[in-house]
Amino acid sequence: MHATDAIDLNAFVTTPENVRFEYRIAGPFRRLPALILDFAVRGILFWILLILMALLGFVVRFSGGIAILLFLISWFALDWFYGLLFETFWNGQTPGKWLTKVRVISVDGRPINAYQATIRNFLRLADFAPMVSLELFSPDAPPMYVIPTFLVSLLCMTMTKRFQRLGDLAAGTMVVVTQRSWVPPHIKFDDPRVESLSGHIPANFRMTTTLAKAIALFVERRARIPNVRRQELAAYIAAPLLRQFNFRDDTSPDLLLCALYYREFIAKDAFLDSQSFASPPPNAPEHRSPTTDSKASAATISASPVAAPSIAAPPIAAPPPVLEPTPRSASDSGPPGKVSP
Amino acid sequence: MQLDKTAVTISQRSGTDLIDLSLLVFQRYWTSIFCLAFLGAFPFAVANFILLWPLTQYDQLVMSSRELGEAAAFQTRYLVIMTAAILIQAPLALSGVTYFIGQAVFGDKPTLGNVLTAIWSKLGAITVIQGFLRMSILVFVPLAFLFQSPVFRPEVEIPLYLLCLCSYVFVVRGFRPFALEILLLERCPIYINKNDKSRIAYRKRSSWLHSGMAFELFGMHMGVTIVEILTTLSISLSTLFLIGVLTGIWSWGPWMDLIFFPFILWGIATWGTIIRFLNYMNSRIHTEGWEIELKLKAESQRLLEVAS
Repeated sequence: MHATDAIDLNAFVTTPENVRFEYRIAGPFRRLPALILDFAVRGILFWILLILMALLGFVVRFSGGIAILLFLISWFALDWFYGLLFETFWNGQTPGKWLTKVRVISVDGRPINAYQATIRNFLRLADFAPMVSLELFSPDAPPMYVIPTFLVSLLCMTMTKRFQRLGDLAAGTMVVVTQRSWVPPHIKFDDPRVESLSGHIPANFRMTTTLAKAIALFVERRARIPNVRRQELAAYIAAPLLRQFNFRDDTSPDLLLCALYYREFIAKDAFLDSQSFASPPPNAPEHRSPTTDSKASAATISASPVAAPSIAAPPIAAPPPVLEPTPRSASDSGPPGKVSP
Repeated sequence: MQLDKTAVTISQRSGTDLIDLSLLVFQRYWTSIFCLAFLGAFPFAVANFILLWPLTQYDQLVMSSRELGEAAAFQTRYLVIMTAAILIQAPLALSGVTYFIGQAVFGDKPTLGNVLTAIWSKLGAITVIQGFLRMSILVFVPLAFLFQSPVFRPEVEIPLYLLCLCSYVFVVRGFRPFALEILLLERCPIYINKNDKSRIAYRKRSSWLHSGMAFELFGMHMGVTIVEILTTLSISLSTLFLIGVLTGIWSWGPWMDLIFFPFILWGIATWGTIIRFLNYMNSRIHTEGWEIELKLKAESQRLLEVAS
């Protein structure tokens, strides 16, 4: 199964320069709070306009007919142009979308233009369909079809891969999440045993990309996992590696994985930093990031007689990783900024 | 089976993302899910139809009642009881769907035979936990009483059926939602020998899985219930609109009461089963670092293959 076949809330956009961006798609229920908030904002704006007009009526003393005309015009303007104007001039966001951290963009990753904003907002009414009459609830009520069921929109979104409603399909847009993803930064270990143990790992042991990624994931999350469970998880990898490295069986699995992480991601970086202005020595270890493809280099180094370290079970007290927001893609920039793939 | 190559990307998600993701899962496996849901729900739907039939004789009930004087009130009563019955029965009836999604996530697509065999092998445990302790089978007792005596008795129906029974099921399911996942997918037995250290009993496993995030789970349960109510309303009103357009009858009639509304409720319950499974995955990721376990297990397998 290819990785992209997995069901997930993401969409990929490849630019003409062959740069691939990943966007997190906002589905109907992620968008629902934005819709409710926009309704509320529109309601508040409408009441403000109404009060202003009432005050104006006292000052100018216009007739009841003109008051009704102004009321209808403001209702129409708010209902039809609220989304259009905000999305055009606020980079695909309305106040509701801004608060819930979603944004409308073109399916090719560009910011939406006025034409797209117009189409998607004018087709909003079709997404409310079928509308149900008030008569359904009371036979005495007027036959006004004003209660939206949103079923067309829900069905349309369920059937499209990018959760596009009718307006989105017509305008070639999609709604993405702009919330920043949280990527743990450099992790530091206070326990000196980590560095010490990393020194005992055979120098010719090379990690595969997937192994490096799995260990990185473990170390980044380990602070939030209870110690017993942490040891249990680490043991999956540690058990074969302890045999391979000829380490003692009572070596803490958690500690071994931390040592592997230290050797792979911290010690190498430090080495490269210290050598950054000098040419590397001929026997310097090759620096590889976890994303480097190294399929051929499986962990096949036979155990050389290494002095077996005797660092057993007590848990090491690594501080929880400090999480700092890192933009994930172009869509992660702040609300008023432009999305530029 | 490649443990790190799953059909649904394993990562921690928010509640709304889980609900959205459930739509994509439904989109991919809708035929199998529909068939299994239909097979599981059909016997329960037929039993409900028979047992609740007397409650739909609104005119007769109006004549025999002193408390409720209108047919509409009896219709509301029937709809509330029908809704409660389906929601209580749904986890048991849709256990096939739970098993199917659990397997499908790891790339296996079990056949109907596989699903039935898996359920049969755990039938005792499922019956005890879901059928009796969580009321999915016991709910037929009050339904049978209503069948025998459909006259409205507010002193029994409101405090006993509605408040006690429904609240009990709602709270239990809210705080400990993953009973079927533990029984069917993790295959934990109800009882184990004290000397058996290789397995974990249902009660202990349930406590481990749920106690760490009980209030988050209950919050999610509340949120999903609200979403399900809104979706049920949306689909029911749309169905009514469609019936109105096709037949010219614009009111909530017997067809809605007896056929369409139960059908919609079973559909919503099936969707709820998918959301519950995704929430189960999310909880395991949160409490146990499940996505790490899958990745580390897969790497361990690769290391052992290389070593051998």
